[in-house]
Amino acid sequence: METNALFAKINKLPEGWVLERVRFGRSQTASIWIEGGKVIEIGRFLKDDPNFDFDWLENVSVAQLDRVFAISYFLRSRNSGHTLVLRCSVDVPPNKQDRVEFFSVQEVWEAAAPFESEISDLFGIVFSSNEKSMMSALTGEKGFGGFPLRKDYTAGVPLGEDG
Amino acid sequence: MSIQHPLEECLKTDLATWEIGPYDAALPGPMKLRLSLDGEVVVSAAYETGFLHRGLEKAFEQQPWRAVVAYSDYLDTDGSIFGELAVCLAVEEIARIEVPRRGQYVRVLLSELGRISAHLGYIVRVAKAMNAETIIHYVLRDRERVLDLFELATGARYTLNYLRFGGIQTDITDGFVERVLEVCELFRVRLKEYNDLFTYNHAFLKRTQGLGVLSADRAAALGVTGPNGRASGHAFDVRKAHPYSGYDLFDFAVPSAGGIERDEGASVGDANDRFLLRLREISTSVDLLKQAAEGIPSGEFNYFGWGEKAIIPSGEAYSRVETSRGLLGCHVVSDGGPSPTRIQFRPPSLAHFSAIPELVKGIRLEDLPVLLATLDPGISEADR
Amino acid sequence: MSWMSPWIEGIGILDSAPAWVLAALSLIVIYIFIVVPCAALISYLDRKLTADFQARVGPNQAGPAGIFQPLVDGLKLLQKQPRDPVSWREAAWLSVHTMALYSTVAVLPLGSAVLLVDTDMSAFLPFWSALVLALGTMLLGFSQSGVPGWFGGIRVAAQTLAGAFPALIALLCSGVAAGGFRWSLLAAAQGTSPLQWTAFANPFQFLAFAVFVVSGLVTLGIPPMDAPFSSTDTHGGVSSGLWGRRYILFRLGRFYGFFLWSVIAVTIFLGAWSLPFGGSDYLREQGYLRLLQTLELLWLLLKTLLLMILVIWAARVNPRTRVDQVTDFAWTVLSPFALLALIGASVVVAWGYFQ
Repeated sequence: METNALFAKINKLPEGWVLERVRFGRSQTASIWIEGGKVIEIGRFLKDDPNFDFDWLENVSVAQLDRVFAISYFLRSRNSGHTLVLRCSVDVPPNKQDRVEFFSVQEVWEAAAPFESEISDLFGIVFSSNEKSMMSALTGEKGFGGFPLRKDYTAGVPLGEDG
Repeated sequence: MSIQHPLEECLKTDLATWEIGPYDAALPGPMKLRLSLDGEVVVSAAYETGFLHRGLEKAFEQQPWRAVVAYSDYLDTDGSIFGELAVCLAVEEIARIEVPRRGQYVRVLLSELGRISAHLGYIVRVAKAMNAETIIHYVLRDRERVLDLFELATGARYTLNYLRFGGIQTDITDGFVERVLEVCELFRVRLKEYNDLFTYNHAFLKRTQGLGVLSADRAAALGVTGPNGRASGHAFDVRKAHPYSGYDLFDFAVPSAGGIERDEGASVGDANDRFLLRLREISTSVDLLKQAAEGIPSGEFNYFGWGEKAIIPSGEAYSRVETSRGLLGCHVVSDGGPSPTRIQFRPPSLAHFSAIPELVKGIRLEDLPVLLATLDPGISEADR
Repeated sequence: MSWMSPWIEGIGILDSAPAWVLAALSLIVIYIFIVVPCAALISYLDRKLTADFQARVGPNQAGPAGIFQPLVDGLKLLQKQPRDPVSWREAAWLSVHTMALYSTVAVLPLGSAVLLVDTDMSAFLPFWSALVLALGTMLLGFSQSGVPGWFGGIRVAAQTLAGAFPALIALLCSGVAAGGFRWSLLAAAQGTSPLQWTAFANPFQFLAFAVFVVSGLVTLGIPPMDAPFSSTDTHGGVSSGLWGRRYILFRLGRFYGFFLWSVIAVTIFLGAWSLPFGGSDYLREQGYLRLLQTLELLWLLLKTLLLMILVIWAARVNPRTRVDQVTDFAWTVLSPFALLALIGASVVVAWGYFQ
């Protein structure tokens, strides 16, 4: 079936790229864990290489599991219909007001832009080429006062004179 | 060689910047649009959203599992069935819950009714953008029939709160299937009426043909799916690519850009194509409704009961649903606890918003509401 | 003021009043008793008929079947306070607007006897005032404080210039058929039955009639060519900053322009005021002058109202046309047809001379 063929191709990827190769949840989709630093390189390879041809970034999803952000890139090939989930992890900074930096894949897949924008507002993961905020009205001191989707977020800007 | 007119030295012209929003009749909802105008022609635009952000994804994490469906309704109230369906499919995958055939058929019925209702609302928005008042009232009158069906089955017109993990909440009432078939008949007549009144109206064609052309490659690169993508030639429909809830049992053809006859002045992927494609999707949905209504099996409607000990085990899943706007993805992560760890939606409208700055270049200011209405970005789901 | 004599006989104070007092009085009388009720009637009919077209009910609360709705609307708007004091630009608009429109009340052809101004240039005077009206509206647009008003103003100028040329040519066609531009001459050239109307005299005149009506819509910015006043993209365009009493003046002014154009169209193309079955001659012979004036006026207004309702009908069903499409249409379609109509009409008349 297609996933086994895909796994076979994944096995042929260069050494050190794939940290772990596992099925996604209980589905038939393949997912590979990679090192965060290599996400642009691996992404570009997966997009350009005709064996893989993952030219469509469908979704970028971040979930916080304990002290780690798991970033999942849902890739899909327009021509062959294969899907793959690319996953990497970033440590959650101990201070809940701190941001953490990560690499942006916008240069590889244009469709990443709105997802990365949102994630940087809601999780505090700053993607390096992302300057624009989607919700500038809400972020900052008078707005969220933190990063809402983190597990240690406490809501509520203290009501002051202008509250 | 250009001759420098002496007047140009003393009449300085510059681009006008105009920021519209968050509330404006031209916009589909609360968003800001910063336009640079050269006379009446838009040179560039930058958008800002987030005005309808209500913390939906965070709310999921703070509610128990049984409340998840009720919240997922509110992802996009224009098509709330799709939000429910996406979440239910993902959770059913995690917990290995099977859905009985009857439950699947009812889900298909409601999804297609939701699609029809959303497309009718689309027609209203496009007509309103160009001040064609008569078609609006005809379409809304017919939309009431669809909303009546929702009310009959679920008790609510928009936010249904009807699906449950494992099927649907209660069985559909006795006359429901017959009424669905009546509504199918109604639309067969009404679609022709809309065509007579509006679709081939010369003024409408002149306002929409050649406007906001989105090529298939750009649609694919930005991730524009659904009717907008298919009108551009990017043929992708989740019901065919990843069939869910029994869609593989039905025989239907997804309308695509190739089947539309065009005049000169129209191009593939312009606003008129997007409009026409949705009209054809309404007929496809009517077709599907007929098949589902005539073939609905009797039997159980839900295999999964929420007993005291019912839990959702740990795991994750990503489900895909074809909404009226495009591909809706739902990534659910569970750690076996009483609440979800993470529910993330991939709304189709994020891609539509990314397309706005490039589609808007070179159009006239008067075309802006029409373009935004035909593109139909759903702010509610994009902001969550 | 011979037309007023049947009405003021016996009121001693007015017999010796100077002519200008009588003229001013007649303007006021015409405005209050003819124009304003017509505005109210058209607005009511517009809303009720539109509701019928759109499968809904329309106003039905104010009075039986909502008959008092226009009155109630007018009262409501009149009692609204303006938001800001009148700026000098708005004052300029107000004065230009008032002068242009309401001076043409004197020129309105409202019946064979109610012709205050019956000169060789009568038919052109309202036309010029429509242009001045557009100038005033443009100034109003520029007096607004933001992009919506400015764009509305520019669009008014563009549309008016585009529509004025075919309108003028079509106007000439009617004069060609009648032999002059006096109201009385234009009316006398037509008979009472539709077959004797100028519009149906020959195909060129019908073309002129159609061009005249459509270019009037273009010049005055009447829906569906109302891009300067569009609410979807420019918040109401020219009127985006108006409020309360000024807004009602604006709306009344727009209605008046539409009304004026329709009255002229009926007078020069659709048979003017001649009553059917030779009623005009009969009543004049019998000496029932007051009755004659009233009936002729009502007959003219009836035809005018029907024409306006046809236009409103088309407006409610069709989408709005974009302003550059309107001007393209006026320059590349209406103008050639208008010229064709003029040439054809002239040829027909010349042919008649040579017979």
